[in-house]
Amino acid sequence: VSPASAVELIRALGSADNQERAEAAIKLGQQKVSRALPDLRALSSDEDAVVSLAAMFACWQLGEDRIAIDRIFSALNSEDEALMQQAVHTVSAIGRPLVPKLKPFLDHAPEIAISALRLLEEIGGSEALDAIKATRSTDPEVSALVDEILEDWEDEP
Amino acid sequence: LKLILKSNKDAAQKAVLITLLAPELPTTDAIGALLDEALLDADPLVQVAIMDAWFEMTGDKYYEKNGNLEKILKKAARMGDGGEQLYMAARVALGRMNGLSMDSLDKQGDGELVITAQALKRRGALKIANEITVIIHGTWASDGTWWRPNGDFFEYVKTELGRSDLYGKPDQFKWSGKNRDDKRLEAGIELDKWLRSHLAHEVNVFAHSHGANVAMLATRKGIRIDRLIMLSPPVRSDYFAKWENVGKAYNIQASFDPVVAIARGGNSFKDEGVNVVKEKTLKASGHSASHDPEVWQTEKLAEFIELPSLGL
Repeated sequence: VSPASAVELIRALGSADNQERAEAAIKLGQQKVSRALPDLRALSSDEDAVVSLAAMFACWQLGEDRIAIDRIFSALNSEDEALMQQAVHTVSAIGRPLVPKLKPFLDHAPEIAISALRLLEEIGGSEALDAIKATRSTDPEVSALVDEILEDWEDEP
Repeated sequence: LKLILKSNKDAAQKAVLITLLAPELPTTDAIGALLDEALLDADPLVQVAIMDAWFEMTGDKYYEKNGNLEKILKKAARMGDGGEQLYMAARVALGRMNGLSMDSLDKQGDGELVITAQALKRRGALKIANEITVIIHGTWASDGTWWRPNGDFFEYVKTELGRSDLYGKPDQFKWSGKNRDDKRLEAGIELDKWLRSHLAHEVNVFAHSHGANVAMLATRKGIRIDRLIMLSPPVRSDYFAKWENVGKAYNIQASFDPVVAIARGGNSFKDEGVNVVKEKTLKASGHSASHDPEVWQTEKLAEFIELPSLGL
């Protein structure tokens, strides 16, 4: 990306328009404009969930590993299908580095544990499988989901 | 008939379908030519079904004039185990041509082996719809409402676009929606099967997000989709359709779609060297915009996809 377009994109992070902020964040991440990291970090707590997720994803692409799992969970449980899908795809794109961050949530309240389980299933891999198997919750809904996932688990999802 | 002949179904399934279809076929030169051509390289069981279908349609033993059925019957008898189904089918067809009643033929049969005879008995039971329109949801949307009866997009397609053939029965197609390649592949296979069990002369599919990739994967299994309307698909070459099995294809993308941007996909088929897909970028943004009835109205998408209304 040319310096001029990078400057324009960084400027767009401050736009009043949600779409412009989100789009600029994603492009900066994709184009690896590392000097945008401080602005993107700030934007990852934007009040608009689409923008916030886009900024988090961009931060991750730039090497930042502070992913706000609570933000992802809340997007995941949103009634806005597009936002939920953005959260799922963000998690899938980041993938295995998220497993250790998700593990502690398996011992939280059932609705949090369920979200964490579903995300681990999306990520796949042996580490995620071990985490799912180690779920200690005795909540019937959580246990049923663990059984369902393990039953469906193929060699290397 | 073309659909059946070109399908990946096994010979027994094809034979049954041809037999069931025969009473509905017109006795035109085109159909005759199609049967002639199919007969050349068909499995013997399908050949029997074709000969029998022609007899059913015309009362003419044209294909039997050289004793073809008898040859197949003898060949099947020599096959022993594994040739029973072919033997029974040929015997039933030959018997019919020689004026034996269905009842007498069935009595000679042996349980499941009389598949063709059973199919003959069911003649008229299967109606092949003229057209079918289906909506396929995307990732993590199997519990969504917009694509089901009473959902906003479903009702829009049915009433505003006039697609009275839109499928909304309880066995409406759905898939796991899991965001994994293997699950999409599985869903493609399931969709192929579903469409084959809901036969129609013309198939229209509206498919959102990775649902579009599921639909494209289904065409690789052999099913034909006459109109494939893809709504915000993450465009990935590893999911491309078998394009000769797609009549017309459309790609509708939002002006900005964070999901497509993140989902390891592009937003244009042309960028991937595929020129058979008609593409449109919306003024609206967001991953759900392409199945939003309001967007469809304001951006005149019905005109873009040129899908004729069937009326209400």
